[in-house]
Amino acid sequence: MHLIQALKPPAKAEERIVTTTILDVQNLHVRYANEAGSLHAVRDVSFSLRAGETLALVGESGSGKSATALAIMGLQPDSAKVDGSIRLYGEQLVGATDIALSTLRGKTMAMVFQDPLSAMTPVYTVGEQLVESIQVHQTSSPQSARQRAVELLDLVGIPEPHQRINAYPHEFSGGMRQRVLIAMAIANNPDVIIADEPTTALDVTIQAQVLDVLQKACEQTNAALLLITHDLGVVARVAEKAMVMYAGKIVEQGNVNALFYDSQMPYTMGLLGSLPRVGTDKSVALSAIEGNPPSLLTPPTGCAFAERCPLVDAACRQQEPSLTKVTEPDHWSACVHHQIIKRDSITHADLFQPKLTTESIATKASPVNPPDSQHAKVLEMSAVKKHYPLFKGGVFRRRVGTVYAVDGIDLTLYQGETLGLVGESGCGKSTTTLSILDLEPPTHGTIKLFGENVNQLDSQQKRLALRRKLQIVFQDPMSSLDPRMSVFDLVAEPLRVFNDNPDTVDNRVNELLQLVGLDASYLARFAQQLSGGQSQRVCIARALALEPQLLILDEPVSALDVSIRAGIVNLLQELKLTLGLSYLFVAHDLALVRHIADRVAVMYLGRIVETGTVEAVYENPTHPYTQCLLSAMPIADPKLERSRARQIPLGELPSPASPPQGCHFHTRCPKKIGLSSEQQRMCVEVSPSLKPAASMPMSQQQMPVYDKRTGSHAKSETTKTTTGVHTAACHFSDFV
Amino acid sequence: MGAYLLKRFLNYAILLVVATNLSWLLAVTQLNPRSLYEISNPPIDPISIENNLRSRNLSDQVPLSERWFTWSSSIILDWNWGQSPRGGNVGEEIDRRIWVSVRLITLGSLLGAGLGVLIGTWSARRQYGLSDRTFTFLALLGLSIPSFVIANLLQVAATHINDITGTRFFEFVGETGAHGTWLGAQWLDRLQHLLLPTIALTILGAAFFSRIQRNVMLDSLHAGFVRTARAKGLTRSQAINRHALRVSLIPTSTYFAFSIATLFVGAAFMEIIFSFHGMGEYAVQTIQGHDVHGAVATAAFGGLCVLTGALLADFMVAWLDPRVRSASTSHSG
Repeated sequence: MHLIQALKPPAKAEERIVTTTILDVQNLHVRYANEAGSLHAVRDVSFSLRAGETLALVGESGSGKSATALAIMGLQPDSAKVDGSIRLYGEQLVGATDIALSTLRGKTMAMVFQDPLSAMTPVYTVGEQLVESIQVHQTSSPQSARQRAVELLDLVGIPEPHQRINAYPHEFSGGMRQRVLIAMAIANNPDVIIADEPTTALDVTIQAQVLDVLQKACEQTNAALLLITHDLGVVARVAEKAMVMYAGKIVEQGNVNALFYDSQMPYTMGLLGSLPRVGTDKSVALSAIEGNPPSLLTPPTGCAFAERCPLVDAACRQQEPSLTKVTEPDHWSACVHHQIIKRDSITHADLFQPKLTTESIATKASPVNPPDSQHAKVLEMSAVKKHYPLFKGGVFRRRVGTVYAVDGIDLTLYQGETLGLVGESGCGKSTTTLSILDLEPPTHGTIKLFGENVNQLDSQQKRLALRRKLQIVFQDPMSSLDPRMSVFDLVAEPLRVFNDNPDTVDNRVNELLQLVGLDASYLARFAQQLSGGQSQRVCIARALALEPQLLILDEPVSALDVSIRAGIVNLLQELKLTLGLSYLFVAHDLALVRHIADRVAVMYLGRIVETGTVEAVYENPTHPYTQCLLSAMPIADPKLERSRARQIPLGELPSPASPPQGCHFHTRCPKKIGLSSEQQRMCVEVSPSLKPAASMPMSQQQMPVYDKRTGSHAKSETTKTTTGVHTAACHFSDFV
Repeated sequence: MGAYLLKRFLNYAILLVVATNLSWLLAVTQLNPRSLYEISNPPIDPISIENNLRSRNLSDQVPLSERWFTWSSSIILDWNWGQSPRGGNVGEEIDRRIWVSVRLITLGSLLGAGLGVLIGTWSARRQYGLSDRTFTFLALLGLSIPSFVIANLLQVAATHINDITGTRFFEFVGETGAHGTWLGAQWLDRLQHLLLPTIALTILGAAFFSRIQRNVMLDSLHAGFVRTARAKGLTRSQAINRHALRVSLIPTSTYFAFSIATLFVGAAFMEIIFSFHGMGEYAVQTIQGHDVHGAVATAAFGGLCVLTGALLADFMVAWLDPRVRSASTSHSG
């Protein structure tokens, strides 16, 4: 344990001095005027924030949480109309002039925005922007303001602040920029910090670091924090109290523990229940909340959640329920049936029964195209490298080096299997998928698809035949659908490209839409008329049009809202079993990968550092990087999340243009400090190769192979030696 | 850096040489200097026509390759761009005319760009407001009216004012006129002559740049960094002036750098109407006058302007944008 960088759990609410109310919001309404009419984004929101308190505002996109934050800061767009009351230390902010508000912004209340790249002016140095924050509110000499800026950078953990103060924002990584934005926010010791999705754009290990800095910054300045997020894991980790927002209204609020362990509003229950969790039964499908949030152009007459709620009855549609205190102290819920829910102790399990289990699908499904030999290799990559030239200079571009995007990886994917590929951004996941789809020889190594070596594809026919069997679903469904094509054209396009019989195209498109759970009424729609979940279903239908055998799923649900994700994940699980597909599932969400994948490969800086069955890797993570990833992942369970010790990688991801010598992870490895200098030298000099994870008995390493036809983990005589072996690339993985 | 700079220049130089040779080929095949002598009255003796043309390397009876050799070697060895059919050295003519063009366009294009940036910024901040709509209408009017119409209308108006006031405040023929002998009178006279063409160029430039600036400014007005600046405590105006404006100037300056170089040959109408004997007028005259060498030299000069403009634009971006200036890296492939 001496290796682990244990972090102090946040101070409990009782220990903090909670006294004065700083911010008091009453009956806040925000309406946006647009072409389609008036969008009622925030509807009758009331809450208050006291000194030193951390309050989370949770909701999906479009729920009105950012609109609330912007209205408090007075930074809403000109087209927005704000009604109600926002008082900061008793002073009314609604209707105040820009000049009056500007004396409060940055001084009494500060804000940290979501996207750290666009939130900083590209043409000024970090120091200039930080000094500006200080000098807006304090009359200090340029020297002392600069001195203070250096101190602030130091406080938020920027190494070498004296030099880095002269850097431009683009010279900082995303995590570093977010630290600078936090430094700007605390420059004048504000009393309230509003953080709008401060870590959403960041990787999980960087997220852990930045959340830490944000908490430290609030403690140092004793500022109250209004944290806006969609991530229930982050709420569980950071907040004392939380509010759940749905369709512009707060539907439940209370202490975090009460909210997570004793949810009273069906929407909160559904949201918490739809998360894949470490430690639950994988064969049970996720319980999805059906449908989509209502449009706020025409606010609902009854409960906004009624259309999606399993408890719905006529009373729900008559009048919109208001927040009612359901339990002491201060647990409020807005549900018509709150008394019934409390009386019968209704929980998630009572409301959202998962409809399908993998077993029930498997028995229902008739095997399609039974493979000739058991566990045929669908994809085999050996020693694959993909390098790109690196150019420098705007006026005089010249090649200055090489990006080692993928630097020697071996991957095998068997028929009917889901292989999860996890890692942080910049680790080479997407390059790996693209180099498979390229059907071109990689820089080095071989890629075999369905036994066919891609390096030796000599004819266009062979290439096309292979292309049919291989499809991809991208991360952002909106941008991967042509806005000028109808759903029918989108799904029919691959069929037309491959000259399928035109008479059958109509039928096939209908069949495909049915397969992904959309009815024929969607055929004539265009992408902008679809919700995120529906768009992704169209993308999946399009990918399935040519009956592929291998589907590459590149972060297929990470752009979707939490309540929509579960439905897509269940659909993918079902399709895999009914159609006999193999998936290469690329994701950064480890809990999701555990739920959907059979085997997992962890990637770091172009190399695979650990691979094995999901059970082996998650229960016994062997490589320090895998351990870091699992420990940094926020879990939507406040007690567990706050009590566990964290192991967070040090510093930043090195550039893939100059990966460290030896083990790529050695610059950030928390384990390395505990090694002897002799051992440390080995980490720095010798590149470790994947070897069996030694901390487990050899007999256990040969994990059973997932059998698609029975949907269970059956022992296979022929392939047990290679498919399930748990390996890790660390010299000292057995060193405790 | 030096090596890459040299490489870039070398690329440009090769491009320019190729373009110049192609325009020579076009000019010698399409222009017919002999016709200038043949139509003269009384007729000139064919032999003396031939001699004249030969002495200026313009005779179509000399083989093409020989003419090309004479033409190119005299440029390379003596930097002599040849003679016009009526005599007169092309190089000397251009040397003089470049400065006329410089005097004509400098003030007008700077004022036009400056005014355009002001108008564009102003209208972007009041998008769809009355002033934005008015400026949009005026800018589109300015862009759609041909430059010679604008110039002529200005002249008509100026004549009226001169007539009404009974002065000769507006001068619009040539660069200089009669002026007093007192100190500065010469400069005042030049400025009087510059006034109308400068107004015309300013209108054109402002119309163009106000549109560009408005569009870029609209982008940066809604950028996250303006919101951050306001969240720090800057007022809306401060945030816009310090942050949005500075960023929006990057693309606009690039356009400006490019456009000023092309104006050298592009201001032909202005030069002709206001009798400024600059490069634009020369380009028209040489082609009309079957002046092979003059036309080729003008084309070469135009090419040089375009390439200089491109280079200037690159440097402008690098100077204004730290993302390009410092080690910016990008993937390709």
